[in-house]
Amino acid sequence: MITELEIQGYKGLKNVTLKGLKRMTLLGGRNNSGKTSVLEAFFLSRDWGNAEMLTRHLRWRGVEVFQTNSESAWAPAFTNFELKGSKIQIRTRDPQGDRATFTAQVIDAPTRNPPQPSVLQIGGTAQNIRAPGEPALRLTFLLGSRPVYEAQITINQGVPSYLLVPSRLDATAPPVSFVLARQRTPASEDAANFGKLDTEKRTEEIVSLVKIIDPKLVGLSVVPVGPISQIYADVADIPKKIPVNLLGDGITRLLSMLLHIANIPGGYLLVDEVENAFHHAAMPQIWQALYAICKSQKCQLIATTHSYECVSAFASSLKEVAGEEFSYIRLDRKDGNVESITYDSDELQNATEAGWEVR
Amino acid sequence: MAQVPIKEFTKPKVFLVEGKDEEAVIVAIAERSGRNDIEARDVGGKNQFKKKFPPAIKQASFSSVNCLGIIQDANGDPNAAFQRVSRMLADHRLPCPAAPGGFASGGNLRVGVLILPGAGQQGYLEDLFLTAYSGSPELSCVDAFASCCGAIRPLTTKERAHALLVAIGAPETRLGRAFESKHINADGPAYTVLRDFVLNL
Repeated sequence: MITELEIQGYKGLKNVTLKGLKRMTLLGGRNNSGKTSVLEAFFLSRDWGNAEMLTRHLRWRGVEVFQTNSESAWAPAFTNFELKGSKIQIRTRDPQGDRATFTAQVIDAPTRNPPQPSVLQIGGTAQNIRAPGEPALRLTFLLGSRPVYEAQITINQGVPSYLLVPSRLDATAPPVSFVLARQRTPASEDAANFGKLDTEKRTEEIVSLVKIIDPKLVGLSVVPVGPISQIYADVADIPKKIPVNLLGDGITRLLSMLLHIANIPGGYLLVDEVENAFHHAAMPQIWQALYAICKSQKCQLIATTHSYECVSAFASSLKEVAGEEFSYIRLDRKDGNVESITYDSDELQNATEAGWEVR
Repeated sequence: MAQVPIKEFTKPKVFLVEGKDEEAVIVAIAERSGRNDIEARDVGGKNQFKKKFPPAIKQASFSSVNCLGIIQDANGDPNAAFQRVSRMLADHRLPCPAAPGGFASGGNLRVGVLILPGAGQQGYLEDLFLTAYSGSPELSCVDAFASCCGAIRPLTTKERAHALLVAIGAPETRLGRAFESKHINADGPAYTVLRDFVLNL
């Protein structure tokens, strides 16, 4: 779990520190205050071993086509689209005070002694790790002051290459999943996640939590449909099982979130615009369901919202079950910089009880 | 889930007060003075200040506020009331005046604190209302009623104020509603301490 997140140089987040993160943390703020960028930045810092780690956010934001040279591919992730001399640094602190630091920095000069390519390489060829004069992206991850990995990404002829040089091969990153605001998790991914739980006889908790939203649900199962699998729902009063997606966007989205969490014990779930697809009256039950599974899986959830009803439900419903294990952080953009304001559980409860604006 | 109207600051001069009655009288003073830069927000009761003040000043809209007034009743101890407000302001690193009725500035914010009924007296907003009717037939009637009741149990200041609202024919026995409906106003000398504080912040 992380309690503090410091982001420098990622998109519009020149230098911002979020403090007081809890097992359940909700981010608010006006449009373009940087809420989604915070989620993206944190995901980036844990997206190990992926040659497209610095371009994923483009697709998430709906950019379908971009030139795969370093300028077009990487610059949008850097503050002011400036690659030269810039770096992205993302630091986290856990409850014990231990720090983890991720850094991404473009290096201009050709590497005289490129890292040995024999360890791991995804895509590209080792011999052409970087053409002379072509910039490379240097990535480092430190736990405290100890390096965990160092890697380089280059783009040669439109193909990104990733070269990883682990300093500590035993090091692994806690898993992280991202539920986007506008795009559904693919049904096949949900089915795979559910199937994995099924083999471990762990689907009961998921079904019971989804029942909070639809009490008529009897059970869920994975059904192969041609080459892919899909989750089907057994619903009281309906003679045949039906694709779970037919039960509505709310059920589908909640199920995706629950399945993500159940499959990343000890990890992090990032949810952009968490209220999407949910009626406000269902939010208290949804928050309680998400907290229940986050707690059982020792996961941490960081979500964004624009909805006051969502924030209010977050405060009132979690106060009953989560004690002080939740917080709210608002991002304010002032004079080109982003500042964060943290409300602990009591402050958020008092604010929403009084009807004070918190977003 | 009960829906509460969402409150944020929209004016540069903001008064945080204990309840709806204080909110209404400040709005009435601002309106009669033609001031549209003033607003008042109640925190939901005298015991709520400590809990509701921190999230109130954490609102994004608080950055647009340049004057903050805090008004509380003295109840039985005006000094204790002022000390509570002073501590609260200090805890949030906000400027605090040296004495009730005064103002202090720091950064871009001017802060004033008033403990009612003022002048270091014990009491409440309702004391100003009762004083405003001093010598009137309505208050004489209330005093006679209070005297009669006193044989059974003494009336509190707030009960005397409710009785006076009945005597003057106010539509409801809420002081704030009487100000809102313009059945009474805060023009008289009894309200000078409050009016000056509101208009001079």
